[in-house]
Amino acid sequence: MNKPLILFVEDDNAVGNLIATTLETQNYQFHRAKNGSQAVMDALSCRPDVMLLDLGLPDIDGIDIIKKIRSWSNMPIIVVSARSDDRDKVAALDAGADDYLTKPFSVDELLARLRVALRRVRYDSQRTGEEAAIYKNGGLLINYAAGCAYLDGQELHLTPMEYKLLCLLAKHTGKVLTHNYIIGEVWGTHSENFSSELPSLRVFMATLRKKLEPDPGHPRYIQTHIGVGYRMLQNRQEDELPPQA
Amino acid sequence: MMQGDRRPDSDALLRGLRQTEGKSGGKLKIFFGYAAGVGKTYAMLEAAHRAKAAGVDVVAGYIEPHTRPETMALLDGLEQLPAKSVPYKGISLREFDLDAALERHPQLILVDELAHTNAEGCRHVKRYQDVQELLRAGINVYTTVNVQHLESLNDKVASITGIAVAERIPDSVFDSADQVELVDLEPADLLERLREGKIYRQRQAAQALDNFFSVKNLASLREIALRRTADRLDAAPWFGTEDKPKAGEHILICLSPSPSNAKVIRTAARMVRAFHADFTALFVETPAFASLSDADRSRISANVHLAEELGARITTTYGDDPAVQIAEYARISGISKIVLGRSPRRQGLGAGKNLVDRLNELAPDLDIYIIPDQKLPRQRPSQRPGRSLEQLSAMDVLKSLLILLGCTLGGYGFFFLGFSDTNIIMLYLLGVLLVSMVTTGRSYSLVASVLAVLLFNFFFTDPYFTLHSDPSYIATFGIMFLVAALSSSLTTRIKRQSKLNADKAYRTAILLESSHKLQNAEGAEAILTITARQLGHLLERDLVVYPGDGQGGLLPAMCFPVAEETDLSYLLTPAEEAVAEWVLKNNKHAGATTNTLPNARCLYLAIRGTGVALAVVGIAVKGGHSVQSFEKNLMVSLLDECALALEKEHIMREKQEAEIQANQEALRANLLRAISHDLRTPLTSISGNANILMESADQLEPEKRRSLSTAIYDDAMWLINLVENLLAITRIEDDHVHMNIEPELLEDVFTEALAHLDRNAGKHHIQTVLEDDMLMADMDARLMVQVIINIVNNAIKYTPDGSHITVSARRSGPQVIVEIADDGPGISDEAKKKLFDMFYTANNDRGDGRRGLGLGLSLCKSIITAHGEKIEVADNTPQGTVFRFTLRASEVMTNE
Repeated sequence: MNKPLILFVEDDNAVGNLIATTLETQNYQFHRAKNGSQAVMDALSCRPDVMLLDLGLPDIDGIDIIKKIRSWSNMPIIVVSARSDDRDKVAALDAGADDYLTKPFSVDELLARLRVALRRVRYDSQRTGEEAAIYKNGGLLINYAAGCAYLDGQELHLTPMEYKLLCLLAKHTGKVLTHNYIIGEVWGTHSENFSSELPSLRVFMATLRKKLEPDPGHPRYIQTHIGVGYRMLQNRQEDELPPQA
Repeated sequence: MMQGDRRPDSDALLRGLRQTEGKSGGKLKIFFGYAAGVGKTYAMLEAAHRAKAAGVDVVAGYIEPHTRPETMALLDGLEQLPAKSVPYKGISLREFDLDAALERHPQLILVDELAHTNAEGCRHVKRYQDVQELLRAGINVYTTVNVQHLESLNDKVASITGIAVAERIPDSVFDSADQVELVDLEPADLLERLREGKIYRQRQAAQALDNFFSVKNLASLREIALRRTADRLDAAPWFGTEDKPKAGEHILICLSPSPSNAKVIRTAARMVRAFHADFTALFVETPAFASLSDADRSRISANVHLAEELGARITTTYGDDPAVQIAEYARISGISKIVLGRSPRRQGLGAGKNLVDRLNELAPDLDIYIIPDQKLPRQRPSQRPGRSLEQLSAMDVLKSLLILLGCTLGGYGFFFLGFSDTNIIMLYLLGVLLVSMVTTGRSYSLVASVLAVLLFNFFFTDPYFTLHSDPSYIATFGIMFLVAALSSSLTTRIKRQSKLNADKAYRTAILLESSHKLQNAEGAEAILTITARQLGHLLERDLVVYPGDGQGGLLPAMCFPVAEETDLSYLLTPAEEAVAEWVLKNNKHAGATTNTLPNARCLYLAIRGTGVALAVVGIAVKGGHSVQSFEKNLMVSLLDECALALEKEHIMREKQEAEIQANQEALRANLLRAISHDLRTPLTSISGNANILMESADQLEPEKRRSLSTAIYDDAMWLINLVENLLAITRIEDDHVHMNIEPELLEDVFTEALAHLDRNAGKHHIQTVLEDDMLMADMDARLMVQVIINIVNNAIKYTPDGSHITVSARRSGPQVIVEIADDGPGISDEAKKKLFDMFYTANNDRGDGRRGLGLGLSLCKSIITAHGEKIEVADNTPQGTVFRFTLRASEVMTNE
């Protein structure tokens, strides 16, 4: 398999070097952009697989870069930012970012997020052409046509709402979905009813996760991003090759 | 009683206001002429062209369309504001578009015909008010006006030309103009122009020539205009200044419902200008006032208005005898001249002299000017309709008759007992006195006096049961009637006096009570509520109060209906709110019964602080009844009190805020000191260790290298944790603004918190216990995660490796109790007390201060307190410590 190309946008040299070193040790191909306009150019010319994006750039605000790139590309964008407020996270995610990592981050965390994103890319590319009637993710299998979900071969007994949520998360595997987005998609309402639906959403997600996750402390499928939203993790298929070392 | 005297500051305020109106805003230039056609508009347009050539942004706001073609030609090259068309009775009227002008906001705007009266539906009744608003908005204005439109000259001009002009402007507008340019033309030339049809179209011209434009009239008008302009030169520099050289003159006029009163007011105003005097208009409220007809009332309020416009200070006193009140007021306020209309002879017992004579007696050193009353040939206004209109109450009639019946029966008793007539007469006198005491109004006792004489005559004088009697009794009857009438009249007067006193006392009481209550009130809302309640007592009208938000906006209205539970939403329409907003912005009264936005349902008054309006009170006006002037006086006093209280409140709040801020500053300084001290240690370790790795990594054993890296990592992590805590502190200190309280699953929060623990956590046994997986509580999730991290990290730090730490949550009624328990060595009771203090760290003596800045637990406490909940620490059984805090449980209904 080709080495994936990662575009990272970071104006700070020290953090830039840290990321570069990390990516080097992991044997990734990468390209660095130091400001927003260069980032957009590079995203166009290099066609990277994943983008790591700092929000506080000297020329363009990161959120605008996300919006620009989303107008033509679906590549995973992971925001790496010192802005730690939930509202900033939600804004970036709603603009189309897949994931959000706050500085200071640990190298392990960065690599983990990167792997999640790459796995999604790979899965997406495999799936093109394949019949989308069936969703497979590790031991999780959704048969859209039959409206059934299976975990490790066992049928899951889901309420209609849980099934809906599961399908929504599955459709956006690898991407952090904000509460707002999920409520909008599932309840069909917008922010005016947002606060009244939020607690229900939490409860449904909790019951759904209970049915999916054997160990809630270390979720395999559904990750909670507190104050922000939820994400379906892409798990390795049994028949898939282990990732490069 | 002398309310005008007690508030000199509001007067000064008003002056200051006028001053700022004229000075800090835009500048007003008036092109002043003595008649139509002298070329005012032409001169104005020329000046505008000059200004434009000088690079000024000029807009022609409104030019009267009847102007001559030469003048209209001058409009070319000037930007013109489209006129607003206002529908009026089927036709549409062209009006100046004030909002468009404010929107366009040029440097200079031309507005023709300052004295114009706007069509119904415009914001202001008069165009000069539009102009004032433009000036306030900082736009310079050129305008035109003719001499006959000046309020104080109105009657003078009318007497020359025989035409009373309805469109008038207050002199203050004219006098406060920054520049006045007199546009002059020989009367003969003007007449020539008129004949050529340059001013009016032919048909109108003939008419105008007859009525108005004679050489003699024009010459007089020209003289008046020239003189007025010269007067203004004299007055203008002093206008509104506090230190104007007072000639020591203070002119007083009396307000009355008489139609000639307006003339008195205007004459006095001219004198005031000539003498540079102070000007006060006094209204003596007599008992008769209560029974005045509506027409008289409206005339009084029109006169009050006129006096106000001409710059008089309005004062009200209460009393029975106007002469005494006027003399008294003149003495106290140092009045030097008094201007009176020729008043009709007073009637009634003991008041044979007219007002002028009585004043002469009471205040001999006062100059009295008497203005002839040529217009009204003895047409007495219904000055005392009270007597004729006095309502007969059946109850009072019955009472009177019963008393007289009693007297007659008693008289029979005396008669049969053979007592002399005198006793019977005394009995009747007593009866008449009684009648005057128990009834209201003078007529009962007078009728009773007559009846008493007749009854006595009928029953008790020979021949009995006839009205004939011995002529010798006539003296008796006469004296009896006089005594009865006089004594009853005295009694009634005493009663009236006491009622007046009671009224006065009531007003004083309301004011006192208000100021007392206002002093004890806390918070702007309470102050406004009290003011509104008191106003409600006073006026018995529905009230709406809009508090100002301190930034020039209004907060939602508070309603105070007279009757509880009345729905006042009809007073809260956007249109009404817009009026209130206008009042707040312009610090002027507006709404119903005023000249600004008179279509509103309420009269809106500004509660004025120093220079700015603090709040707006709306008084519902039903059926066009304006607030009585005496009520208005009291109302203004009340509003002033309210403004004072509001300002005091404001200052106190500022002081408190400053104190809080000072405290926070101190805290921040402490924090900074502590942080910068404690940052050094880990930073030294990080930089030192990194340095060793950089310089001599090759010479070091791999194991040594790893331990150095670990040290760097640990210290960095410690710093990260510190930063998180500091961030959390700023979030809370920003006054809950950033708190994002939502129902959260405790399980999520626990999972998140435990994922961010110290690396050392692996050496402890940490477990979570949740009795219900779906337990939810209201919280700011990120702050709560920080609380749990801090407490658990604390437990990890202060307990030996291998200890058990349990994080649990359970439901208890409306609350969720969260506990973090360890089985470590525990905390001494003394330490428990200080545990949540900032900068407190356990084992300080160990000198290992850097691992504990003492922020963590104090932050936990701040966070929990900010949630409105409590945190405590207790001993665990059999050993160890329990941190316990509460949260509000949230119920979640899921419906699928």
